Amino acid sequence: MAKKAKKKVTTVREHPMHVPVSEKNPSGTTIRDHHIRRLKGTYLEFSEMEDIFNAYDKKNIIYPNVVKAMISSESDFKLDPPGNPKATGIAQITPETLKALQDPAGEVKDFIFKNIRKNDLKNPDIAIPMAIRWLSRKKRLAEGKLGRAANAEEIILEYKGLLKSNSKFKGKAIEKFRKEYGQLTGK
Amino acid sequence: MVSLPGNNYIILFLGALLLQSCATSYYHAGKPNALGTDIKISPDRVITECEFIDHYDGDYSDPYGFMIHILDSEKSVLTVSNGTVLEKKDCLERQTAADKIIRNAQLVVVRGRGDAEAAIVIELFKYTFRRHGIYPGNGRSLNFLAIWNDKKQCYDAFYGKAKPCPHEK
Repeated sequence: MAKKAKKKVTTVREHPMHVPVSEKNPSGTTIRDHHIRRLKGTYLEFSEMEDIFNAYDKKNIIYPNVVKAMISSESDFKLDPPGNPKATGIAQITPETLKALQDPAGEVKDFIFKNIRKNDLKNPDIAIPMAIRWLSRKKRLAEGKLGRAANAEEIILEYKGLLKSNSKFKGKAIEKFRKEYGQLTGK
Repeated sequence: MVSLPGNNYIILFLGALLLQSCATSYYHAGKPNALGTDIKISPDRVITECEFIDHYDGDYSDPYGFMIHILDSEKSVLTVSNGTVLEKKDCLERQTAADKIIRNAQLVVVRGRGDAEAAIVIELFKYTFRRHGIYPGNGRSLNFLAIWNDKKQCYDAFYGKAKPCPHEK
């Protein structure tokens, strides 16, 4: 008799969950939506990763070329360019953004980072995921402002705080991103 | 026929030389290479700007953008910039450093990354060059690497230890 394949993933139904008591959750409990849980001792195979990626709703995805061109336009891939005293690391993240990305009650509270200090942003392994999270937030903000889907340039302009600006600098600031993104995508 | 004494010839010659040196205006854009694109100009063809960024929606309290504008031989203006927003004081620091290099020079070289001979797209924005007049932007844009002069004074605001200044290697 063939051995039954070991189940790797299970679906967890909606359930109450204990959380720290706060103003928002004075009872100390919240409802966790139904989610998938990977069973202990199992691992993802490459084909499974592909299946997950292919089935994933890509409507709100930030494409890798956008991230690469953004990093190029911000820092030229220098780990910590010293030109701008206010911004740190390969993605030139500011202290305000760093704070927002770690604020459990802030604008990205549904997916935050924890215990990241300013100096940690010099490490691209930390800075790049944080930048992607911030880009994702900026994409939503740009779409809210525009009232439609935002293209790559509009997302980057919102990342730089320039989306609604009428300045000369706006055009110059996006130029480098445009060149890099064009080279990467062949457009 | 009027003849001039020898001393007057010398004065006339020196005067003409002075006039010519004052009037000489120079522009030459090199081809892009691994180091970047070098634009050689006389100081009358280059101006710097710290522009306040209106309707800004980001983390800087006093947001400014630093740009170097260069008048080319076709009477249009290309811009060299980093494309990163700065606080006003940081922008003015860059502008002061670049202005000092321009002021002390007879020849200025601005190094940027990009194509200084890309197709011209005339912009709405115009720039004033005191000796030449008011000219529109041409859509050409380079990413700023460094600016230096014939006195070997150089400023770069971006690369830290890896100096793009040729005299600092």
